[in-house]
Amino acid sequence: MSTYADTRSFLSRLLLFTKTDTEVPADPVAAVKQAAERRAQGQMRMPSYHASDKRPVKLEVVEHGDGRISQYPPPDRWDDWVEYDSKSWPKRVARRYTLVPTICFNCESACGLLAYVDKETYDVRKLEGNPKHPGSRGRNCAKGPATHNQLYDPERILYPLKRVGARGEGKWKRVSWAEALRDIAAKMRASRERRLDGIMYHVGRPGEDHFANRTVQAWGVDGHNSHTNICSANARMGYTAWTGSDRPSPDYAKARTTLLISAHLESGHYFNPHAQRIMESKQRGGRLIVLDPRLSNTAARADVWLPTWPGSEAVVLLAIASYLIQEGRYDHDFVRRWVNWEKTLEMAPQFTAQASEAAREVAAEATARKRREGAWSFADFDRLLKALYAEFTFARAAEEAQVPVERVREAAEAVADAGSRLATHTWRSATMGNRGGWQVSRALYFLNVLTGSVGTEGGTAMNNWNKFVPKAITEPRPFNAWNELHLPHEWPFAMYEMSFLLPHFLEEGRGDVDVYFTRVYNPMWINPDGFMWLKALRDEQKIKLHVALTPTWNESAWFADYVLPMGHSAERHDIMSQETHAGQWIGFRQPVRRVAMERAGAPVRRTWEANPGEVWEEAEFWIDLSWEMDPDGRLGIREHFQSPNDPDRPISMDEYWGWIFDHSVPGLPAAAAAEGLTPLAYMKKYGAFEVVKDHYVPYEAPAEQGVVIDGETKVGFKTPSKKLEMFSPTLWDWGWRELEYCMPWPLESHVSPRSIDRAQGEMLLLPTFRLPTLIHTRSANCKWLYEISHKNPVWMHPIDARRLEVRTGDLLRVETEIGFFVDRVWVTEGIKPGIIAMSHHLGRWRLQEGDNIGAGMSSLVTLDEQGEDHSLAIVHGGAAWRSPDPDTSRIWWEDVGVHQNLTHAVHPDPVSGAHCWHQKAVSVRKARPDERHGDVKVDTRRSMEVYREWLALTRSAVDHSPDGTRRPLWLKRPLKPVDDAYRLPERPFGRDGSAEAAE
Amino acid sequence: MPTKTGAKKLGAKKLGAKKLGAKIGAKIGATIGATIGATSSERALAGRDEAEARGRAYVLLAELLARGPTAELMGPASASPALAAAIAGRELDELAADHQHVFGFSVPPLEGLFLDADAGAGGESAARVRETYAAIGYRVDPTQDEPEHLATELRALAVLSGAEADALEDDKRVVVAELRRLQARLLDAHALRWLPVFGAAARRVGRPFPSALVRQIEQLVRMHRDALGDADAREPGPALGETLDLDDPELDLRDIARFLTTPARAGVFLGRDDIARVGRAFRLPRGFGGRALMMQHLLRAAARFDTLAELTAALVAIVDESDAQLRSWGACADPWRARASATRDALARLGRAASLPDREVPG
Repeated sequence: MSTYADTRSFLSRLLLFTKTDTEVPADPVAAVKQAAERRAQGQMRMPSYHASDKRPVKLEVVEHGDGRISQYPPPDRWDDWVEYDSKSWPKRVARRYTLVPTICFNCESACGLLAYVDKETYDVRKLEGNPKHPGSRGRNCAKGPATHNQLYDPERILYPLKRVGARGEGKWKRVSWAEALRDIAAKMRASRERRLDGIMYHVGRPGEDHFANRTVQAWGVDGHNSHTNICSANARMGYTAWTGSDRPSPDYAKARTTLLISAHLESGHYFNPHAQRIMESKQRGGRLIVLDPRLSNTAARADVWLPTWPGSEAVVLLAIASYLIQEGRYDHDFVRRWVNWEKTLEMAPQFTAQASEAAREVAAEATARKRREGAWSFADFDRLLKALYAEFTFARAAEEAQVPVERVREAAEAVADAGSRLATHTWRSATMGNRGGWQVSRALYFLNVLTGSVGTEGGTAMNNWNKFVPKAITEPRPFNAWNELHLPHEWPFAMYEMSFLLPHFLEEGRGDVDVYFTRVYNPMWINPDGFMWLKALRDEQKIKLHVALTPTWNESAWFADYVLPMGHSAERHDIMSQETHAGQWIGFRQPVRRVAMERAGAPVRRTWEANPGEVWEEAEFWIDLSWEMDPDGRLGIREHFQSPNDPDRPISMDEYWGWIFDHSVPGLPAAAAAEGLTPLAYMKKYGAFEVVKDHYVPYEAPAEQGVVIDGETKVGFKTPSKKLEMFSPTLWDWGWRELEYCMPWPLESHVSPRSIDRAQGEMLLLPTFRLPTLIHTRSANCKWLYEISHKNPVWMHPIDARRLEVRTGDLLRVETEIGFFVDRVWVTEGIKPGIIAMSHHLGRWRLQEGDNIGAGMSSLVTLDEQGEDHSLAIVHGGAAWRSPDPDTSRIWWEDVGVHQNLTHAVHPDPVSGAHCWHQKAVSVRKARPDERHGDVKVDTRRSMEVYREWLALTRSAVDHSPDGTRRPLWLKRPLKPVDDAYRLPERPFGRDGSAEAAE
Repeated sequence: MPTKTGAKKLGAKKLGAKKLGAKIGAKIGATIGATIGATSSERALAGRDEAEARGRAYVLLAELLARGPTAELMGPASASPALAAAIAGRELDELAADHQHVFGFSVPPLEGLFLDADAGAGGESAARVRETYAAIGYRVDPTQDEPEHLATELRALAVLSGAEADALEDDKRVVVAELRRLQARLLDAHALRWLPVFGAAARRVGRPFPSALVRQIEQLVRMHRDALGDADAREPGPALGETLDLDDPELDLRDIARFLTTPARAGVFLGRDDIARVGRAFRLPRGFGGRALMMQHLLRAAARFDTLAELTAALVAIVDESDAQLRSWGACADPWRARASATRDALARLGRAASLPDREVPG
């Protein structure tokens, strides 16, 4: 038979090949690696578990601080845990596990997880809470256990992929890690040798505390970019102005009153460690006040809910502050000792120029007294406060916020009663919604300052007091570079990199990027003005190499050159700490299958050998990439990634983390020794360690160099004065000299009632809230979480619904400044009239079928682009699909939301650089028959126009820098260059020949 | 029934793919001069050399199927005239993208997809093939390998072929006979039961390299099975699932879609590409999701736009095309062909019903 003849020929010829790549080394380490390589089937395998004839072990009873009791496996039995399989019920089938602690990666709270790893198959049976974790204390939200669904997600990316066709064409081929590392590192090296601003690491959520930043610093480039400007920049600005620290850390459990500008930390994705402590406070009689125009989960549990009009929050907070001041119910002694009241009085004659006559008089009198008596008088300061803030009455607050005046008074009384036990928090919400939102966090912390509840028991500390970040084995030197695409001269106070404007900067010709890493970051989807991102990501002249590091497919990765699969929480090493309460702890994230294999005696050299497919972890990836980038050490990079025991090889995970636990975590070596363990073994066993307990008022600690308070030198704060800066000399010096900038004062929002003409049908679109079960791109492939919440209808008050003649389920067309979208409406009294609200997280889409974002969690769309006109239309919504996971056939929903962010114009706050999320809905009406659910249309010409309108509001360092620098040296940057790099550029963009490019 | 005597009992130790790789890799080249001669590249092989070469071929084809074309594999792959022709003049990236499209998206080479009543992976077929591996002494790493993947089955065959080559070299005839019986069992109970339909579906996608790869696998498997003769009683063909009862009053389009996309019932594998192609031909939306859902969308759209008769005719054409591919397979394809014939009849009847004025189409 001729076909057999061909095959016989094939066999004969085959014998001529002396070697194939199928030989397996005798080395067991290499054998493990090759076993992983053989998992080449391209489909995700579902887990299997081994039956055991052992008897189950009894649980340990753990008492919680709030009185609840839970049961956990006792840690001394974690190595060999047996329990009956719930799925086999009513049969008693015992399973034998090794329990490996790790840290959740589905938000930044870093809650502890305990992975149940089958001792025979190494499959993960489930993830539960780690009772030894000081932050989460054994509890998790839905996202923690749902990690299991992500580990076995049938659509996840299992192997490194390299683009084959044009960007976005969707043609990929599988490559080895070695090939990917070689190619990417060569391009990085070439860039690094030419310039110090050509490599950009753009991180969504860090999920770890230092490794990537240290790596970027070791590369010697200004390469760190973040998502902070769309997340928290305004809040950070307000807190920084007061304290020099950029984030609060309330001691909820011991608070008498908790005041939240909802809804982020407590009902959003960060909520588990905090919500449990807020509930503790409430169970002890604490009161909860929530400001939010939307009836959030948090607001629903509040004693006082103030549904304030967005942008009015600072007025409400200052009305409460004024009440404390006028009634003398503030902590005079604390304010006298810690606030820069002398400097405030000194500058008062100038900044009160637009204030009330009374305030100007007090300022003048205080100055005169100083001249007469040679010292400032705190009594004058008290008078100044009274005069300055007298205009913030309850009546004014009630009117501007559109809430009952009684509720404002009630809130003020609760704050006054709290004394030093006032826990406050804001992060996204009002701060990130409004232009000038940074004054919301400034006004909020004003209440803590007035009540003396700064870092006290039940008060509000700063996060750096309660977050522990250890030092690494070497600390790379700061770089001498400044990437204009990160921090352009127009925003000298940006908190931090102006990340969401990257495509606009590229469009203007401000620069280009040689190697662009997106890491757990989906910029086209999560940022406003996504079509501008689409243009940028497609442009191979501006972004020359795009490497997407991600556990799952996302819209931006589709336009990458490499898609490199990175592990979920149970598949990687990291250390993390968060400010969950008044203490410090450190958590150790571990790749649980690797740990289980190692416990069983099978050595694993690289984590991808133990993970599904060839899913890797970033820590090892960065080490190998950096090694490949600088193989001969000439660039000074390799030295930071070499083994302390053998400089000729890269450092191993055990060596890296072991060094930190040995040298940088106070108390850990002793605690480990008490159990006969090394520090590394201790952390591998328990997954967390509490470094400091009951950490209060650290600024009061004595110091050799600090600030003198009543004759004693104390640590103080991180501001230039080391005091709490009510008047901000920095803002003043850099050109923000109006009262509403240099003092806690309201700034008018871009969506104030004066800007929204409701009579003409305009409304305010509030897009800042989220559903607590989802987490941006990371949860997009988690069917379990999507089953809980999967759509983002437009919330609308019945009054507005009647006006527009729509009912729940009707299609609504919402027009923004740059385009429109169509979504279904949900009529509810849970939103304030005049406002429509939509959750972000939802509205995921994909351009092609298969090999992509899960079909149940995204819509298939068509993308139509005609010049600057872009439109997106849904072909169909979510649907069930067949995969190795039978659960994917049980997708029962179709509506997976609408991608509203595409239609959002960019609104960079002129001070903080924050994207002010709230949108002016210029038209809201019932959709016409030809308008379909999910339709999106955007004009990117208009995008650039709006960008330029906001750009014009800035005050450039070129015009206002007091010392020739680009940015105040004391302000934080995620990675700070050397001081020399702060000098203003000789040819600032837009001020010389490059200006034409901007036109 | 096969005994529990496996490779381990035969002195070949318990073999896994690691052993397999070591055996095959170490042997490659060592026998070239001795057996083939320095100048002969195409002389007919026999006995030990044939078993040796077959083992290597299985390894190579398994690697190509599982990992896709890589630079390292292109040299050995070009030993196959069919593969060489498909490779010639094409970029490696292009080949890799085609591979991903066919085996990663349209026609996954998983036994359960073809043989199980729910056309799903990880079900009865997976359990059955695991049992077979255990019986023949082939060790599948439960954390690493997908047991029902065709590549895994080919690797198991490579192990047995390599062991057979060793036994032939040592002139252990009893061992050789037992190993051949185990190979026949693995082929009859698994690969041969679904390879014909899988191959037909994969080739229909029309990508040259994957088509050639499938063709080469088919030829090697068939040649191998023919060479084994009656080493073991051939097992009956696959126990196929229920046919479609068009007279069932409860029948709706979803049932029909489920039937058509379940190879064990319809006798044909309709991949995503098949469904998409038909949809494009009649400008019908087919949506996305599982194949059953796509088919359901397609049927519903066809009913709505009065193209059900045309659609069923197009589906019949696919069934015919698949059946034409099965003819040469002989008895092992008979159950599939019988079922395909029934499907053809059912589709024809459905098409006729759609042409009737009162539209007696199940809705």
